[in-house]
Amino acid sequence: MAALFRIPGVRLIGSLLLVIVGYRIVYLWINDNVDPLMNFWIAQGAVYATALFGMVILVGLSGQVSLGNGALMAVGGYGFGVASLAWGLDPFPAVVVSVLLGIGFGLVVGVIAARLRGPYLAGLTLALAVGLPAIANRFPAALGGEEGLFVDVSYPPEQAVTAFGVRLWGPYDLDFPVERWQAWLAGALMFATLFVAVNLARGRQGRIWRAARDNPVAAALCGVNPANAKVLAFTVSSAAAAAAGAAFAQLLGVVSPGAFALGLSLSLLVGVVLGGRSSLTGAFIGAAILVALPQLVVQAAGSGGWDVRVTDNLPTILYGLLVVLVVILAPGGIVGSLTSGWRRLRHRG
Amino acid sequence: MVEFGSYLLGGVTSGIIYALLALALVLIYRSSGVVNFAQVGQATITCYIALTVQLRTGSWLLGLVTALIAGVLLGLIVQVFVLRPVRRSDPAGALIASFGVLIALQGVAGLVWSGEFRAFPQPFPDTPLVIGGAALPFSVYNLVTLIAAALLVVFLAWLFNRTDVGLAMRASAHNPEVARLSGVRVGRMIALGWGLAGLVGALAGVLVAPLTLLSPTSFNVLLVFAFTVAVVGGLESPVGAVAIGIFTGVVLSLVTGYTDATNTPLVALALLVISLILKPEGAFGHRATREV
Repeated sequence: MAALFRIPGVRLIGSLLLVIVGYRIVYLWINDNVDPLMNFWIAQGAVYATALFGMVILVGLSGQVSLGNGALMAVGGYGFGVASLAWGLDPFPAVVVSVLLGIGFGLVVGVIAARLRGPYLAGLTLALAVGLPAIANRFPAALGGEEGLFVDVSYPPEQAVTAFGVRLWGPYDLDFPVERWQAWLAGALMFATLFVAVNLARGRQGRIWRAARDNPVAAALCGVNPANAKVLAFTVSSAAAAAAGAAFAQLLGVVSPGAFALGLSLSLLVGVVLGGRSSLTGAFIGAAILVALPQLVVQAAGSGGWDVRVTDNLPTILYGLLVVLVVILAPGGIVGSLTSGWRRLRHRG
Repeated sequence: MVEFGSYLLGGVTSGIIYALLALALVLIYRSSGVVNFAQVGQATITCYIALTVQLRTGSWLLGLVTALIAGVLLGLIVQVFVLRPVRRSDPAGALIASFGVLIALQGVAGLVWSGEFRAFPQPFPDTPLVIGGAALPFSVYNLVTLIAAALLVVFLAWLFNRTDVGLAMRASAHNPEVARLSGVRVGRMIALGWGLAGLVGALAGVLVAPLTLLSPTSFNVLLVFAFTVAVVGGLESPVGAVAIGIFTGVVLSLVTGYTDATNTPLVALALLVISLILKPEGAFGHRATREV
């Protein structure tokens, strides 16, 4: 199977098929058969997964620890908000606008970031995460200030949804739950990002990133430009974050500085570390943990009669402790531990 | 002009606090090559401890002393139980672990003291000091901050330059292999560095708390300021941290005074970006040499 993937073109077509089947058949089938609340969680998970694909490429493959991806999501979210409100664009062209904005922004930050070593980069992105959402307060007229922009989620679409003139979905009845539509959009963006990420990470570019991460000097001797590799990783992850931000805006119905606070950036770091820093599969697991853990705590609190203070803070404490434990005991995260365990079993047998 | 003077002195006071936090980051970076992003989390916890003690006993000084002891202990705990076990082969690991500690500590603060904003009582008058009928342009609070910070810096300078322990700490930071061969317990010296940084961070937290409302995440913005100061100063240079700290404090205070407090994170971000573009190793730092 792995050998088959090495034939030129097979990966591209195979992953395209996988994404289409995964979305059109599996994902939408699940959406049709769960209740609106579950669809909301699925949408939330898809938003996290989209951003985490970018984190896998940035933190895992390229080795740049970033705390700013929540702020990069804000760039996408505000891009989406302005494009759909001020310019009156349909959701899909608006997403394209926000991804382009994310690419441009990622390019600028990436060029600065590529010169920096680990702690300097982490600090710069931390400053981004704290400072960038504050820009919205500077331009209350265009960006809505502290309250934010209210993004119109007047779907389920009564008219058909079109992207550049091609009919994608709809029209639907008024009793079509809005959460399902939100999950559809978030899922479409997640699978599109996955397609790009798989083809970059599994191919030549993935090898370049890993080489530049593990030994920049040796990589440079092989004709790889480590700085360019880092800038590309930052740009790709920024584009993924922007797509996630657009879906997040659609999901929350509002883009505000508070929605993209430092906590969001920290959650993304937690997700990518727990799932497995260099694994796209790990991004799914990380996203599932980010959505499920708070819900599990709420459920346990409901049956155990815990104080609301416990329910609010226990997930944060667990995230922090899990991150520390994973870094110390299993740096590869859940997926890394499973694959190395599987390899050990096979070699013994 | 009166306004300018008060902004300037207010800026020096907050600058000293940024300098202290940056100093804590520098102490740890020099001893173990890690930027401890959990520092403000530790400061938040010790600050809440100081608040609790102060509310129980009514004594600010007792609260401060408890916070300082707690700061040292917390620094030691974080180093021994979290940073020491992180694998050497994983350079990003230490960084990520320190963020893990930050997240966990903020959760603990929320769990124990709730997420509400709490006012930290100002123990000293923050109005202009009057001596002999003339109003001086600073308050008792400014003076206490200045004296406390100065005492601490003198203590650290004495410790590092005049004592055997300080020499051992410098040796293990400069060249761990050689230090170990000459009988220095390098691991202990690194832990001691973290403990000292915890002390410095705790002092900064207690001093800054009356200026702001205390919440589990209210120090996040301080982390950005402190990191900016430490980086612009060169991460390795205590002198740089103090000098740039006061400079940054004055700049941010003028920005707050003449425009708006919400601008300060953006100005800090701009300072950081400009500094990193011009000198990626900091104004007081040395250019890193790369091993091949």
